[in-house]
Amino acid sequence: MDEFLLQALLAGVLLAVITGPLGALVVWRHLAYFGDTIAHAALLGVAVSLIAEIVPMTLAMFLVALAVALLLNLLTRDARFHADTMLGLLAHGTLAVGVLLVALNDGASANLEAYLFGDILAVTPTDLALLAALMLVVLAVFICYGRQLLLMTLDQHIASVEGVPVLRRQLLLLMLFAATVALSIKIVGVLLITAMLIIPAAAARFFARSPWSMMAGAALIGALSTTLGLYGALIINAPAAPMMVSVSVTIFLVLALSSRLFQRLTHPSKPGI
Amino acid sequence: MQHGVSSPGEVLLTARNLSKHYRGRCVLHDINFRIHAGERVTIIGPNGAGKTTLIRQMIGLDRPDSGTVTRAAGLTIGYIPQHFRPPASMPITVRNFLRLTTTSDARLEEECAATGIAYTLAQPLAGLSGGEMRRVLLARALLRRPQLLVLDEPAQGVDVAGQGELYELITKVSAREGAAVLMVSHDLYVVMASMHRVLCLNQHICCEGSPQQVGGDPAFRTLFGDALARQLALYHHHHDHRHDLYAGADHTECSHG
Repeated sequence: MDEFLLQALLAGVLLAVITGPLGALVVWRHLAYFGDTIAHAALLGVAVSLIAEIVPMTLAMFLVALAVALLLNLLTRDARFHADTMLGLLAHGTLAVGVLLVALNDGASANLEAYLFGDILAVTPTDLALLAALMLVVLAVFICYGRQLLLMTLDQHIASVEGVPVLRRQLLLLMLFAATVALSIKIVGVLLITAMLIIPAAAARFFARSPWSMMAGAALIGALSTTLGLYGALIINAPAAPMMVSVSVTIFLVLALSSRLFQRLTHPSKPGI
Repeated sequence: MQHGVSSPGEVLLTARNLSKHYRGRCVLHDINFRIHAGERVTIIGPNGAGKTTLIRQMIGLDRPDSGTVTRAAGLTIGYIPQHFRPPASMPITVRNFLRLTTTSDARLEEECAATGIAYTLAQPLAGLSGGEMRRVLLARALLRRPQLLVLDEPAQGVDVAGQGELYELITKVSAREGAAVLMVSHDLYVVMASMHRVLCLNQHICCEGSPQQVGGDPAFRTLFGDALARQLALYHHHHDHRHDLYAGADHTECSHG
C-alpha cells in the first residue's frame, strides 16, 4: 500500500478514537457550537504561526484555541448576552481575522483551502506521533476521570458538592478539545472538525445502551467514516474530508431510519433508552 | 466505608455573619446558624428570600461576600438540587446512573428498596417522572451514607399525592441513617410534623424555632389553605419591621436593625 495512504488511514482512525469519547461529551453537554468556535479560532492560530515563524503551527493553533476557549468562559459571564451571541462573535470573528491574516501572509490563497478542509495526504509521521500521544492522553483521562466527567455532565453542582474538582476537570476538557482541533486541522480542516465530533457520537446514540458504549460506538463509526471516506475520495478523485463527513452523515441516517423501523416493529409507542 | 458517623449534638455546619450581594442587591444579610447531627431543619420564606442562595453558600457551591461557613471535618453531604434534567442524548439507565456512585450491587439494591425505585432500575434516567427522579436522587445521595442531606425544594414537580409520601420518605431514611436534613420547602403543612426546626428567611433570619413555635398561632393551621395567608401566618408574629412581601420587595439596604 502507498505510504501516504497508509499514514492518512492511520491518522483518520486515530482521530476517530479521540473524537469518539470527546464527541459524546460534546453532544451531552450541548457544546456543538462551542467546538465550532474553538475550531475557527485555530485558523487564527495558523495565521499567528505564519507571522511569527518560529512558533510551530500545531502549538500556535493549540494555544490560540485554548485562549479563545478561556476568553469565551469570561465573556459568557456577561448576563446581558446569551452564550450563543458570544459564541457567534468569537467563531466568526476569529475566522474572519484568521482568513484575512492567512491571505495577507501566505500570498497564494490556494493554501487556505487546506486549512479549511484539511489535506490528509500531507500528514507526516510527526503528526501521527502527536495524534497517537493525544489518543493515549484522552483514553487515560476517560479511564481515570470518566465517572467524574459523567457526573459533571449530569449535574455540575452535585459533582462539585461531592468533591469533584469541577473547574480543573473543565480546564482539562478545554485543553483536550484545543489539542484535538490543533491536530485534526490537516485531516478534516477547521470547518469540518465539529462534524467529526458530533455526527459519529449522535449516530452511536441510536444503538448505545450506556454512556461508555456510546463513546466506543462513536469511535467505531468515526473510524469507519474516515476509512471509507478516504477510499471513496480516492476512487472518485474528490477531497477527502468532505467525503469522510458525508459517509458519517450517511451512517447516521441509516441508523436513524433503522432505529425508527426497529422501534415500530418491537415497541409501537415507546422510545428507546 | 465508614461514612456518616457523627456523634449526636455535633455541629455539622456553621454559618457566621454570612452576607451575599448580587448585582448590588442584598440577598443574604448577617446570617448566623448551625445545623447539628441528626437535626432536621427547613428553610422557608417568600420568593427571592435567598433560600437557595443560603443553601449554596452552606454547601460550598458559592462563596459569601463576607462571613464564614465552617464544616465538620470529613462531612459527607448528600445534595439533591432543585432542578435535575439529565440530557436525553445520554443513554443511561437508572442502574448505570447509580453505579456512578457505588460499585456495590448489594448497596444499590438496598437503597432502591428503601426508596421504592427498584422497578425503575432498567429504565432510561431521562424518562422518569418528577417523583421518580426525586426518589432516584435520594437513593443516590443515600448510597454515599451522608451525615447531612441537603434538599432544595424536593417536592417541586411532584404531584400533590406524591409530595406527602416524598417528605415521609425523606424523614424515614434520614432518621434511619441518623443523617441531618437541611431543606428548602414551601409545603409547610406537610413538613411541619417531621421537622425539628424551621428557619424563616427573608434576606435575614426573621425567626427560627420548632414548627410549633414558628407556626404556633391557632390561626396558623386554619389559615393554611391559602398561600398568601400562609405567608402572613408566618410573618405576623413579633416582627417590628416591614417585609414588602407582595409589593415587589426591593431590599436595597440590608440593615433591618
